[in-house]
Amino acid sequence: METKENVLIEKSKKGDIHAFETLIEAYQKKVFNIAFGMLHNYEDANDAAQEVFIRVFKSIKNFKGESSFSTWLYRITANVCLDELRKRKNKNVVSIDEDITLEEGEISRQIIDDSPTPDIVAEKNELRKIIYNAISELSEEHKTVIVLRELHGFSYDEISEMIKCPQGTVKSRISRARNILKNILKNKRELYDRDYVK
Amino acid sequence: MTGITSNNTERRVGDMKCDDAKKLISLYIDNEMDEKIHSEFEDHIKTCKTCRDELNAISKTVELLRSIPQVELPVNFKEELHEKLVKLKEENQKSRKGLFFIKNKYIKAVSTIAAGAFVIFALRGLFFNNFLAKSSLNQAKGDAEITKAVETENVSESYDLSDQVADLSQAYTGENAIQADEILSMRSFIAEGDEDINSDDKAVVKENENFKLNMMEEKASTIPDYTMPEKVDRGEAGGISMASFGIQPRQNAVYFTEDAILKDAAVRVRINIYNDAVKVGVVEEIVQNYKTWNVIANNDNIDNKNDNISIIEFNIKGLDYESLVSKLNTEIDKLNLIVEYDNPVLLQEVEPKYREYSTQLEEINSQILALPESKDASLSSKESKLKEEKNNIENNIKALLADYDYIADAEVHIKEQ
Repeated sequence: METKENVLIEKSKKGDIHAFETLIEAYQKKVFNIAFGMLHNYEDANDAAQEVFIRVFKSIKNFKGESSFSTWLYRITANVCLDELRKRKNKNVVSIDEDITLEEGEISRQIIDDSPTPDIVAEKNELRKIIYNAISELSEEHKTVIVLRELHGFSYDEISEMIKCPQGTVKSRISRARNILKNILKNKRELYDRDYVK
Repeated sequence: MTGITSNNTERRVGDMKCDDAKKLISLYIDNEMDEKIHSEFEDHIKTCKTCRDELNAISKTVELLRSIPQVELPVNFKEELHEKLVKLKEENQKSRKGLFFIKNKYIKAVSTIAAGAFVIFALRGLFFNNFLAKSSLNQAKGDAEITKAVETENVSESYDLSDQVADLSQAYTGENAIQADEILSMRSFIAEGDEDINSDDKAVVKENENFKLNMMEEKASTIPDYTMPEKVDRGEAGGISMASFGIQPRQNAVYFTEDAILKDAAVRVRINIYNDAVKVGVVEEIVQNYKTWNVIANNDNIDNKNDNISIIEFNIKGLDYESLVSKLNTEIDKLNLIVEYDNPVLLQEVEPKYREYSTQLEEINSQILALPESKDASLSSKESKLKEEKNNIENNIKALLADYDYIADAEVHIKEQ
């Protein structure tokens, strides 16, 4: 039986932009957040997320439904972000939240942030900054699994399908990455909550 | 083994080594281990403080990671994406182009139709077919051969057929690749200017007698309003002197997929080969490897009257169109040519009805989709009712499609860079 999503996918295959936009409506924020988690920079996350949907629109004709649409979409997301990270290796990209170290001490980088950040989450933003900084220290492989697992709650199965890796590999990467993060965050614990990480 | 082994590398509590337990922490947090290991792990944790602390620390880390709020989409994210999508679609619709490079050996063997020698009329769409049919009716009054052709509803006008063209048509009809019963019609319209009819084209006319174009006259009267391409010169009564075609903007593109109702429908494909840029035979050969029918070979002047254009026009199963085009692309890969093609576009006569039916179909599909999953008898009767309705619509579409030899047309242009 056809699902609504399948109907939208079929329409999208025919180049129906409206159907495509309806189709991706539910995924946009998540894709952007995965990109933000991976790239740790608004502008790059925006570019990457845009690129993801353009790629998806271009190649949806080839989507055979072997995996779920969302898995396919997030796999493309992960690939686009990894591409960007690889490109970055040759460039010196600075993160929004990374502080510039001057002789007088650290100052915050001033960047106009046009994304909506309500005051209510200001506190959380501080926490987010610390966590994203920690994640950004991970290797590409670890970063990918952590973002997918912790920030977006994908199952081992889903992650395995998204990054085309055996589940065993996913398991050990997640385990390793958590350990590394634990150690990174341990050193910064005074920044947020003394009791959070022992 | 029980008891505690106090050893840096092999601490053991219960049945589990600390090293092993530590590796399992992550799986434990995610509840991703089988029962036996799970209980062993819990036994270990109960008694081993080191591992318990480690579990707590990692749990806290995970908790922390999961606690951070999602960032909002950038304000203009959707608008920006929308613009990009529209632009992308427009680019796709304009034409999908490929660049291909011709080897000299292909150029050497130019078209069997000599450049500039003939003007051949291509038929464009059903109405135009009939238009020609009518024109030839007029013309036929003075020409028994042609009258015969028209009576058998095989439209064929030939002017001053040259040996070369006769050879060409022989080449076509001689091709076994097109099975005789699949060929409904093969026509050549050859004109040198608008000169007299020469009855030397018996061969061609005779071939045409073998083919049927049923219903042509009827359709001409039932399809009153096919909009002619702007640049088509309808010619004078008694004969068409010249026809030239503007390349029409492509809208209402239709895609043929295996599971769609359109999968058996045909597309009229017109391949325009400019300036004998490629040996027509090369293209013919490729075309003939597909199940085609209504093959028409033609030559025409388009836009610039100095540019000679060879035209091959035929029907092909919609599903095969993409494959044909990609085959064309690869086969003339090395030719120094540009291949442009567009997506098949529904005929104007078919389009509104077809859209109407497919909208109904989508509506029904989503209604079926919206039904709750249940074994309830009243629900299942509702579902079967909907499915029946769906069937009806599908049959309507099939009936609509059956009225036409082809339901969409597409153009391919092969020209020099």
